[in-house]
Amino acid sequence: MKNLKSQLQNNQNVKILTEEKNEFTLEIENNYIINIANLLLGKNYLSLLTIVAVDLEEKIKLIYRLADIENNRFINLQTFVKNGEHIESLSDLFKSANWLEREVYDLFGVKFLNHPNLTRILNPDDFKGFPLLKNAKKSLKKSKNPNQLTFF
Amino acid sequence: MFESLSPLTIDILQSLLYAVIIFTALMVAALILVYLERKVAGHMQSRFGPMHVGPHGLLQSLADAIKLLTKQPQFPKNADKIVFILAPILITLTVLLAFVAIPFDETTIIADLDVGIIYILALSSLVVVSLVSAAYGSSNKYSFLGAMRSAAQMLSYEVPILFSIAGVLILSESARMTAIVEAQSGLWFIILQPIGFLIYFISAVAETNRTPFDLPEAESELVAGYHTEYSGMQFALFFAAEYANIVLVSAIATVLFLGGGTGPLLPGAVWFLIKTFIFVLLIFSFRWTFPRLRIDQVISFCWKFLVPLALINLSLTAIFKVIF
Amino acid sequence: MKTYTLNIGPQHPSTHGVLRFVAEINGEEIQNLKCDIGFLHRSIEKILENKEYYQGIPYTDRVDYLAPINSNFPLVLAIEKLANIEVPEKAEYIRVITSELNRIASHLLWFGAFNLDLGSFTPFMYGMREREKILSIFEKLTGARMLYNYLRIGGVAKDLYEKFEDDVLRFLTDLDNKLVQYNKLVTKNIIFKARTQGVGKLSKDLALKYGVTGPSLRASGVNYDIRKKIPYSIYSKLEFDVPTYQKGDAYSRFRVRINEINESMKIIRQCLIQIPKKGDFINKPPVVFKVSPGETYIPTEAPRGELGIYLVSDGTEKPYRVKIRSAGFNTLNCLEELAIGQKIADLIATFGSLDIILPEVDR
Repeated sequence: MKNLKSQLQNNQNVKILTEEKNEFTLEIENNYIINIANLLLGKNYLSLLTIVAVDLEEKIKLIYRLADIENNRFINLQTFVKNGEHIESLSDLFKSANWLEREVYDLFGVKFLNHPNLTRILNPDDFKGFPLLKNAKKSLKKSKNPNQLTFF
Repeated sequence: MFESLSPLTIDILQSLLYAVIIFTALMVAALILVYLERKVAGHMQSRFGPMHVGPHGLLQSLADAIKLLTKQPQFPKNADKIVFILAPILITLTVLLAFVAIPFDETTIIADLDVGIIYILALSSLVVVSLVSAAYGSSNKYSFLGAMRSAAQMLSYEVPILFSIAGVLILSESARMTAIVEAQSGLWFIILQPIGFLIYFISAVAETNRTPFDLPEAESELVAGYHTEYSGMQFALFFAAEYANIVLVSAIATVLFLGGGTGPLLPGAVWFLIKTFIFVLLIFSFRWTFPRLRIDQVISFCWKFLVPLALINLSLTAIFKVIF
Repeated sequence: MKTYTLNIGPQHPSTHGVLRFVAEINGEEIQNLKCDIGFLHRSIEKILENKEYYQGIPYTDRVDYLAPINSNFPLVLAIEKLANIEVPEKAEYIRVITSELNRIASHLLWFGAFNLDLGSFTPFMYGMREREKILSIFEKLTGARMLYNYLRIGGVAKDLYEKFEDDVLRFLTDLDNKLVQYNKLVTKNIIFKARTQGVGKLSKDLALKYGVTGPSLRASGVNYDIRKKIPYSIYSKLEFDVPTYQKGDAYSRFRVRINEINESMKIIRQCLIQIPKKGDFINKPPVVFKVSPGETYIPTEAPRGELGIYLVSDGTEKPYRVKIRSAGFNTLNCLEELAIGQKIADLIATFGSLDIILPEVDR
């Protein structure tokens, strides 16, 4: 743990936001995601438990929760994706990223580069718009698909 | 009045009478057994089973039969109509024909063939043909898969049945059903042939496609059974044929291993019914106790375990017969 | 060899939910499996953004309808953490007792449904019979048989009724005897073993890579139970074991869940002894209460795995974002890789043993 903490403190691209006894919250730039993921994978953080996306109007905050389950250690990686920008996919390194990133794409519209199959997962395949964005009402009303049901 | 008719006409009338009696008896038996199975299942699962229709649900199977009879027969679009219609008729026919050679007590039998038991075995093999033709006539990919599995299973299990019956034949020295019953007047064959009995019983359950061997008609597997496309009276015929088949194998087990319709005090036919009934109840209780086996486990159990065991049983019986 | 495509349609003859598999099969072996989910997507997360905090609790009932109290738990804990509300001790004990009872009910239903998948109908009836007793206890306690809406911010909705302890203890002694019977009927049954041993082997490596949690992970050799590792509520005061098996096949997962029923019974018995006789059952916050801005993630151990809620609040009376992390989502993703090379009958056994239900996956 100390080894990891000192490594992270010395790393310029990583900012430690909070630190509890076995859980770190780190903030990084979104182009550093693959490097930090490789680093943590080497430290036995094998599982990507979930990806939380929060819509902050001009950008979307992504929080990746990585876990070293056998040793009960967790890391929450925070990063921001501005509207219209992309971020690299982690599906090569963490297998659970496959569906988790599809869900974020489906509900928020974040595009992940190099994802094997970035299609909608929860909504129908021909759904237009991204429902969990804060301005979803406007974007869904603009869609011209007569078969699309909106309950707004 | 009957003296003026020629012997041929009397024969034909007699056969028709027997045919009607067997058909009615088996259809009624199927109705009663359906009700009985649901009650047995219910009580084994600490619930009551049918209670609503009639006192204690006694009229339930009558209501089901009326519903099935009044349903409109449906034909799938690409079905081969002739094969589709013939399949349930064929299966009912084969099972009914087998009952012709079963002795109900020491002397009552409709046709005392010299090759009695072999005739019955041959007819039960025909059941496979009607299953496969039912699936073929349905032109449904999934019921065909189910029928293929069923055909593999039934054909494989014919072999242990044959060997276990051969053990009985060695002891009785004749294939006539009445002779087999006579040969057990001293000692029932279940005591002389315990392994043979177990092999026969397990294979018979597999022949009738009952749990734990009911993969071909399983509802919770994704591939639906061979009789999915049937409705109404045709489905009722399949259903009745299945229960009649259960009665048939139980009756054969009674005759071959439990001494047929013999016993003290009560008339022979009553004893026959009681013994058959015990086996039927046993087959029913299997369904509600065991999960089902996978098809490859079913086939390998037959070939790797039952057939060698049956061969050993047969050789031991032959050796003992020569010595004693 | 040519493969044919088999569509295992949205309707299933078991209580798993609405899920569609598209399998490419060669003979009897599966070469490729795709899961089509989203039939039960009710966008609970979006709805919760438009409701006040306490109004969101019934929606979490419907996330995992077989263990509703376990699904209420993380939301209530997250709100209490952000709003700094302390829960009275009696309420904590009531919460733990009811969520362990729910865990038993969920495992009993799974026991029945798993056996139904394999073809034996009787254990389904037995599981339902036992679960019925739990549901009637809950009906006396909360008024509802299935979706209780029982946990509240700061405690629980109602106090325990007078005969609660007697009812629960009677049920537990009865279940003890019945479990011996079920072990004889199912666990030691040679056909059951032949269908489940060696089937659906989930290696520890694969389970960790996919983020699988809960009993499926414990059956693959990782001793990880959130109630022990990140204790919440009063779990740190209770003594119980965490059953772990090494093989990772369907039989191990079955045994883990049956042993978990035993552990839950232990927990309930301890709680009934330790619970304070007098106390408040709720520490009521004001009706319109605002939560200080912040975010937090609370993981809890639901019967199916880790159920967690990430709550983001912006200081108003409605949450800004609620994300529900369900165990079924990751496990179903894992099934796509696990099924390759298996026979169709084994796929049904594997899927049943992983205990996935679709409302949790789709939310």
